[in-house]
Amino acid sequence: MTPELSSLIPELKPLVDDLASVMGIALVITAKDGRLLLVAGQTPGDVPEADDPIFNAHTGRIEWRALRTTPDAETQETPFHAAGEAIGTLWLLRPRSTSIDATAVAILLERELGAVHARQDEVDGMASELLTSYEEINRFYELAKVFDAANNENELCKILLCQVLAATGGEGGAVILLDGDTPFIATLAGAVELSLGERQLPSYAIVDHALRRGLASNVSGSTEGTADRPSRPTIVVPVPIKGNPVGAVIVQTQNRAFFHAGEMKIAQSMCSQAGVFLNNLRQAGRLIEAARISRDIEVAESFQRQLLPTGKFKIPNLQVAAAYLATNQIGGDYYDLLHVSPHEVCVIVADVSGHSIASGLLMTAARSVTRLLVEQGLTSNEILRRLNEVLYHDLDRSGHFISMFCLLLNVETWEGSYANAGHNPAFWRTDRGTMLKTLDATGPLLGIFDGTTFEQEHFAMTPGDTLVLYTDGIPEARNEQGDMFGEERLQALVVRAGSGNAQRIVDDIMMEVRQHQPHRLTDDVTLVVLKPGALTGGPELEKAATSVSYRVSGALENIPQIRHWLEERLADWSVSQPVIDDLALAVTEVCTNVARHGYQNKASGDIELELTLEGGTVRVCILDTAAPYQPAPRPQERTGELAEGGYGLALIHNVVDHVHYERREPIGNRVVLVKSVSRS
Amino acid sequence: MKILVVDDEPHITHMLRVLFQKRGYQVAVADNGETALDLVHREQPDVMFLDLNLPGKNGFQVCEELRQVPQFQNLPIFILTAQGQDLDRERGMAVGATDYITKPFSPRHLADLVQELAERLPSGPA
Repeated sequence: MTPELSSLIPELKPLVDDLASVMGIALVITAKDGRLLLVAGQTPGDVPEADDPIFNAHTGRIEWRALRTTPDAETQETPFHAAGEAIGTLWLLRPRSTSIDATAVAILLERELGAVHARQDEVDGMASELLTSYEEINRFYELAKVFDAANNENELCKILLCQVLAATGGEGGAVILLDGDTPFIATLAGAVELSLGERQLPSYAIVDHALRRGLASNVSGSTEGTADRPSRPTIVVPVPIKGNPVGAVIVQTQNRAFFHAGEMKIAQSMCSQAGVFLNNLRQAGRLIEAARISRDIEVAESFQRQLLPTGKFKIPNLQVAAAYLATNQIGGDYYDLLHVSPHEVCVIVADVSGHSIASGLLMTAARSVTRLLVEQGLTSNEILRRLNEVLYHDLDRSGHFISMFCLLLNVETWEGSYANAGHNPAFWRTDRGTMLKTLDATGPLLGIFDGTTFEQEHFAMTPGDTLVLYTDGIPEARNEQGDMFGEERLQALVVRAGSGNAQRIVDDIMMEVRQHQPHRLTDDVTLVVLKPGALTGGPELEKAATSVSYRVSGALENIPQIRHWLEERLADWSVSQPVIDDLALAVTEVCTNVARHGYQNKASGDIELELTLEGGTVRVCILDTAAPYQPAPRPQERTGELAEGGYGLALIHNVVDHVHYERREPIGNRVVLVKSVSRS
Repeated sequence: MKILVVDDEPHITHMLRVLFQKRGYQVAVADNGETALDLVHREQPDVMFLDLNLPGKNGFQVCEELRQVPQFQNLPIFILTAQGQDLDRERGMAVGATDYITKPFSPRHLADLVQELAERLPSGPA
């Protein structure tokens, strides 16, 4: 008697569930009248899990809605037999990429049910093959869990070797991982070995050859073995990552004459799967390492930024303006402005050799020691002498060194003194004259010689004079032809600036330096300008401008950093939080535009921010060196207004008082955002 | 412009290398007398800074040997002497040094000196 299919369902269900989940297919069994009896597995491809099959009474077919959205999947149907008679239908939804066959699945199920009477020949061929592949899939399913337990490459190698030995019947072997940078020169980056008595591995040349084939290869030699080839049956199985061999499993046996082709095939499959896990481990490792380093740099950078003087340095009748641009996130330059006493200030400008975390740390240490020495009221040359002692012994001849200009200035008499440790000489311009005076005493670099002494020189300024300190990043800035900016040009600019205020002079010089070297800085740039005497121009007297600059590569991922910098500086200036938030939002929008449309996500130039607080207004100037990334203003558009940039523009207009865009010739764009601030 | 720096203290040669390379000069470095002599022949520097206390052949011997080679009779050789070592200095000048530089020295003085030499250098190969 023919069994009723529905009565077989409890028996079929575990098997069907298992098959469907292991093979990544969906299986449905319907009765002859179309009733759904059993649904198992998930529809393959990117479709919602809830996409159940539906029996269409009109067509008499099972339909998956997924079929309309998943061109990668296809449905197969086959009669389901019992006692030689069709009792229902098996439906199978499979990814097109697989060759799993509905008939074979049906036969397997029928056999499992003991319901097979007919088609015995077919069963022998197809079902046994399917059983093998079912077992294989199961094995890999298990294997995946085992590989996944490995925490590092070495563990993975050990697991892989054990698994391959078990599957092939080998008794000994090794796993070799190639050094990533030198393919096919096998350095034992990671290896495990199960010894077979005397070590009998094939030579690297042989392994290399097998790896190039990309398939498991038999590498055993004649019975005696050769220098290259072991006498024992030995196979080399490549471990690939994305098709490229990155290592190999070598398996040997003593007890048998050879390895079967099937065993080699299984070993190859195992190694392929291990390659996937190896790749995962490596990528995870790289991500963790990259995250760690970038966090370290971020900490160092934010620490170092805090060390630069902020807007808090205020002397009633002394104008101070400075620009600082770091090439690396961690800069080698630094400057400092300190009160020594109510009537004396100290200005430090220094350049630490190198651009690395080490340079950043050295700068930090030097700054702390210098501050301590300055506080003690020492003379400038004594400050340098003592600093050199500390650095010489601390640096332990590491090859790092510091150039430093140390200047003390009496803000009542405008008499000053200075000492110089191998730094570019400061100079000043007298108020009326066009002549420059160079503070040209010099001495050895800090940290190189033991027991160095320095000369102290004196000078006297008068209100209106302009004193300029800088690092070699300015005179040595090179344009594309390799010409240096030069000290003469710097001096000429100061002469030309006449009696302009300190901030103006800094702006002018920095603009010229940028034009000279529009794309990339090659060295840090520091510029400090001091002008005895208050600002000219009446009501602005009490509100000296404070200005800082920041420059980073124009990559999207640097934008949070820019934002962070902006927020910190504004907070330093006691700008209220709502204003900070608005400006941060606007700056983020502009910079995103620059990175995305200007540099087209290639970070092919820098983004530079100049932040100025003057007379209760914050001005943020955002500079880039990109081609015009917005269409040039059309004739009917007013110049000075941003061309359409999407919703970002409306947003920017909403949060700041004024937006100004201009094309910079010969290169780049400038966006200026202005917002009045309420001091908190 | 090619500069040969000879000193057995790596932090000093490192500093000079950075200093000169930054200004666009080529720099060769030796930390002993034998290497120095070898490099002079091989690299044909335009100027040489020579420490006196070297392992192996000392600075005096290096200077003396070089002056006996006609090709190097006019090579500017600046000996690096420590402060207060007047005897060394005199002896160095006696064996043919062009001039001496007292350690510790200002990098700017050295850079100025090299620039002056570079300006005097004939434009073609000597």
